[in-house]
Amino acid sequence: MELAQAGGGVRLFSPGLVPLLDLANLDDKSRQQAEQIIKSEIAAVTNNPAVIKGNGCAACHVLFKVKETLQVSEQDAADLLSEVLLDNSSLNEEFISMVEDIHMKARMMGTTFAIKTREAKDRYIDSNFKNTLSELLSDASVYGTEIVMRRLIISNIALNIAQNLGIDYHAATEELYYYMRKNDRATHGELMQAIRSLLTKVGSQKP
Amino acid sequence: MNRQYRSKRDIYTKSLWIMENIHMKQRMIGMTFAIKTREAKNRYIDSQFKNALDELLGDIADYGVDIVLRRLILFYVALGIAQNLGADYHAATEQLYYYMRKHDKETHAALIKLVQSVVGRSKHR
Repeated sequence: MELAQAGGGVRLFSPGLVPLLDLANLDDKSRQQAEQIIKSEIAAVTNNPAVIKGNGCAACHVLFKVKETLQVSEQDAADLLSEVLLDNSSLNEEFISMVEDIHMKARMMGTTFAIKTREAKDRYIDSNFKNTLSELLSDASVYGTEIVMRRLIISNIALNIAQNLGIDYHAATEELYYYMRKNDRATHGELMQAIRSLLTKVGSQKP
Repeated sequence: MNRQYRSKRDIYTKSLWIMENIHMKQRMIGMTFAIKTREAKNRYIDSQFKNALDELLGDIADYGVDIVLRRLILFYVALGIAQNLGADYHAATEQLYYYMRKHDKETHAALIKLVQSVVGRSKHR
């Protein structure tokens, strides 16, 4: 359940995005309460990792604790979590090390990354971030915007399928491709319509 | 022509069967999906496909194109990190968010620049 819900939204933490969004007014009191909840949940998970059941997500556990305790929507809880972590760098460090402990070290996944220093990790993520952005930009120049948009949307759908079914991304992609091959014209039409709507709305957006 | 088409379709079906056998049945992952009939699986993927597109269009109406494109790009970056690290998607997303919180202004500017460059090249503008 947590896995499926977590895929639904990206946390929108950048202050630069605030004017673009019509978010609920999250007051200082809510932020302080959220900070306390996040602190205590990080401590609880660190002391007893068994609170994260099976292959559950540690970050989602904290997020849903904020949501349940403060009785806010998932989006508001995500915004509170992002804002608190953005403002409080030591809590940000604790949060990421909790995620690494549960998702990497305990599950023996990506341990070569987990044992690096924070600086080396940051350099790795930095190069991945920049490479991916450059790759997308270059693909947009070579193949066109529609192809890039198509790729982004298809990987998004495959990821949703993987999260909802609880299967790996490769299997989800193959299931999606099989379906798309079978309904080639219809799926192509629907994708192109979505891309056109998306790009047409960019043109008509207010600056 | 028909025979050729049928043989191609058989290869697709067989390769999917092998994939399901290895990725789902043998690894005991997503078994509730794997044991469904092909028609039920197709209906499931069909609804997921249509829901995802509708959700994107709904988000464009609610939040605007910039936010939706930003979300798609972040999904894609996190997925790339997960695949490169061999870590799960949640861990990769948190690593990315941690990095972005630390470099908030630069990453925001880089994302906005990419969104503008990508849509600037569109013939649908």
